[in-house]
Amino acid sequence: EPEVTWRVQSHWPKASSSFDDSLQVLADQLLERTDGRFKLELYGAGEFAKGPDIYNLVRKGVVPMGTISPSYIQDKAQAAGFLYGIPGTFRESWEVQHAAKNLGLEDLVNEELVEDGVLLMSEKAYPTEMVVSKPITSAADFEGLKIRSSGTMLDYLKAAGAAPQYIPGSELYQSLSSGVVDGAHWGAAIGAKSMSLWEAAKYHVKPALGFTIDAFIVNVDALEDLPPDLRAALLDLMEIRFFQRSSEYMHKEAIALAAGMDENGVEVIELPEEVLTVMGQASKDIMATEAAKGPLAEKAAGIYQTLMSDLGYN
Amino acid sequence: MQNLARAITRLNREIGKWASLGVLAIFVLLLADVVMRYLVGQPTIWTAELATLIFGVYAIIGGGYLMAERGHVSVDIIYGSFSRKRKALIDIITWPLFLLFVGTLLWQGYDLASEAIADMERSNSTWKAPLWPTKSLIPVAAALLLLQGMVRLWSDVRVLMGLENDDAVFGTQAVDEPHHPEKPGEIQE
Amino acid sequence: MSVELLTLLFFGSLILFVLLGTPLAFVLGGVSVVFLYYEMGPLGFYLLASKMWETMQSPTLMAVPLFVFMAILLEKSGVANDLYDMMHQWWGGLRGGLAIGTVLICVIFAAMSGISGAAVVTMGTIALPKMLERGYDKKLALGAINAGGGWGILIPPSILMVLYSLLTEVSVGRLFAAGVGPGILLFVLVSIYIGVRCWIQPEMGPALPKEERGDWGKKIASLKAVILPVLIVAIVLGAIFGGFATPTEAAAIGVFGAMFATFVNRQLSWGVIHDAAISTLKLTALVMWILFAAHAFSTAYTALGAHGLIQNLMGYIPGGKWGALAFMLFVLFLFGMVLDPVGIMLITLPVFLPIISAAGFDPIWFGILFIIMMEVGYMTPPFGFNLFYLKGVAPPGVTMGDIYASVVPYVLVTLLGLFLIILIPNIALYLPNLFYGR
Ligand code: NA
Ligand code: NA
Repeated sequence: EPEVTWRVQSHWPKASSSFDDSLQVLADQLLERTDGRFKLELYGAGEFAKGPDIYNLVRKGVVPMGTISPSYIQDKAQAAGFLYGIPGTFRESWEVQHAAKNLGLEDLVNEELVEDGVLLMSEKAYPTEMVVSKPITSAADFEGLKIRSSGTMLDYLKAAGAAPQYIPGSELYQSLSSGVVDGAHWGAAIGAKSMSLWEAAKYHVKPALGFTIDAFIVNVDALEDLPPDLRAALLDLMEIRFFQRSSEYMHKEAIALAAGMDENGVEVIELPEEVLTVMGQASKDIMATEAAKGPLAEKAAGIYQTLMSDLGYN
Repeated sequence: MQNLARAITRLNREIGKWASLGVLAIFVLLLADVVMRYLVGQPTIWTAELATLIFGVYAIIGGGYLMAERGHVSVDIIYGSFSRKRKALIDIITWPLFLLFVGTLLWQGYDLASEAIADMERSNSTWKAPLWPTKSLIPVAAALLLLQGMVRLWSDVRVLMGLENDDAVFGTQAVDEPHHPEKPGEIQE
Repeated sequence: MSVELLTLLFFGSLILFVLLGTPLAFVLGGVSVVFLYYEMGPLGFYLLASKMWETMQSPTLMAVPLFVFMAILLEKSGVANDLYDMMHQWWGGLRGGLAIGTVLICVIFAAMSGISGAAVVTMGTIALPKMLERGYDKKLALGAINAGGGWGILIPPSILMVLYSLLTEVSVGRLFAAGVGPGILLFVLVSIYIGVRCWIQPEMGPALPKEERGDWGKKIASLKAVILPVLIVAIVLGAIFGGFATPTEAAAIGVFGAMFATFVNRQLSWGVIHDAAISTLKLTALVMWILFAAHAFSTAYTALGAHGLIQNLMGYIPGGKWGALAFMLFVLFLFGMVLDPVGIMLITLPVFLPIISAAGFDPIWFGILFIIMMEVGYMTPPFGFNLFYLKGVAPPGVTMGDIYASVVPYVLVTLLGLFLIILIPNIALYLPNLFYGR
């Protein structure tokens, strides 16, 4: 009999691969580590809540733990936008992992969240890539391209000349296949595959528009109420899983893309240089807007700028 | 007291009259979305989101109005054959269930709304739509429904006492027995 | 308390209060509050408000008031009346012809929207009064609309299919394509049922008396009644499949078409629009309040341990993979009586899918069976949205009892269709295999 059972409300659909690979593995390993004393009971998106409301559920302690995208908490923490990711900045997964965990982005977010009663632990870093139904060979092709987008990425694509718009996930496939939109991003290759986007749009666009992070969130009171060894087991495991899962994810991305090329005839295309140049400027503007949110946001922008300049990106 | 009941019923009916126009707003916004995308070539980012926000309010705010019109659907297989008095009695007995639902909704909706107001909560879309106005209407809608439910309870008590209830004060009243058409297909309009 | 016992209490109290005549929204909501408190304490109450907020924000439910509004405008403008006169002129000699025409229109509406309610509301508003006026049996007419109205989730586009794909990671395109064959099959079966029933019992769907049937001149003249409806259907379908609009936006285009038709028939006035808007609000509020409570109800049942219950039950099933399939369909049938489809999906699919793949069943094929069971759920008493929509729009003489009773033969016909698809999987799988390869 487990000593502690926690309900965990995920923002991924149950039975999806991200749910199994991210959450089920964590639950299994936690149970093993604690000799069956700490059990996580997992709930798929929508069972108790989905999207931004998961944060409130965890904060109030309705469930002690959940998963979110940092885009849900941009109002709660100045640095959340940076943890979520600024489009057109980092180019490799390890850079994002490093910025989040070693250079302090996650801590900056937690400075505000913990006061609110919630602790955030990054779950994985992963790319955002676009699929389009017609090839993009010039800035003219990109101009006015109707792309299904959301959040900061929408501003980014708009600034670069596209005509982005939001369409709910439930109508995305239909819209892409009938031509309401010419392109979309839903994660990268794994996401495109899970939403059947490649059936309607054969061109997979590189480089990634950006990298983003998914996160675990835990109710601070519930965490403190845990016996010390169980608490340590959970925190350690989340920390380790972040790095394991981030690299595993990039591997699975490659497998998914290869499968797409094989099964759906997907073609990988590169954005033309002139489009990338415009995007570069758009990225700087977004960074400036995000940095203006306050002192913590400014610190987060500093982390980005230092790392990018060390990498020779500006 | 009767004046208070009359005011509540009237308020809900007025709200229904005005809220009904919400469907026109949703219609115009969604149509504008299509027009902007194809005729102007410049998709708008806020129209669909605004339409969703309006829809949310539209969907809840009519709860009290529907109560005043006796429109919340129920299963009339047994209930339908009851006399007015017996209907009123059953309604009084099951009223706590209504109170549990709507009362809890009012309480929790108030929490939800006051937090949204304190944070000046906005959506995480690029338009950053303010969410607190819509969220504040959850407790308002619950309160309107709860008030109308109290008026209904009172009217049910009056029915048991053998008093006549005015529609304008207590909302639409139950009938003694449902109208059963004599021949198949013969329907009163 | 064991989850089995809780389940009995949970659904038992639901059915008790429903039969006592308490409005469904309050029964579902009130029972949820009690059980949320039992399982999670006062903290659980928050779910009531947060679920409501989640439902309010659904971008696809917006299509509901738009379709309702469109239907009422078409009714008020006389377009619907002309259309049914035309059908009677042409098929007047055929017993049950109007009902068969109605389910044919349901097929077209199913292609125009991704949700189930659209066709029920439209046909309940337009077709029901016209059939009743012409002497059709109440139950025959109600049931036809109930059954045909559900095809909106089977014939693409379909929101429920997208949700199924999202949970199972199967191809949306394949699933859409797989819905076409079963959609046509159900149309044929329901039409045969109506035709045969009215042939045996002519009083259920009377033919137009010989002396009232028009000559060819009259028939041709009546055809002008189809111009406006065909125009509306064409622009809505054109917008969806031509890539001009999402299915929800297409509903707004449909409203535009209906307003145009009302204008052409010289009925367009502020009074007509406001009357239609008020009826629309009533029906939307009716459905949405039930939906709010229904979502709370599914959430409460999830909290009580619904997954564990199904998982345990699946362990006891004899009869190998076919026994498991039969049992799953049976569970879906039972849940369909009392829960909403989204809730059913969230509760059952994660348990069913591993079994489906272990048994080697095609997940697309199972998806179609699942969707058809959801359709059955939409029309089985006591809790089904098609029933509530229909009650919301039906003339006053139609009781919930009539509506409940009307669905029985149609549920049986739909289950027959389901059985045929189990026997001949290619009814569903032929098209997707043709388009996308095996
Ligand atoms: Na459909
Ligand atoms: Na049902």
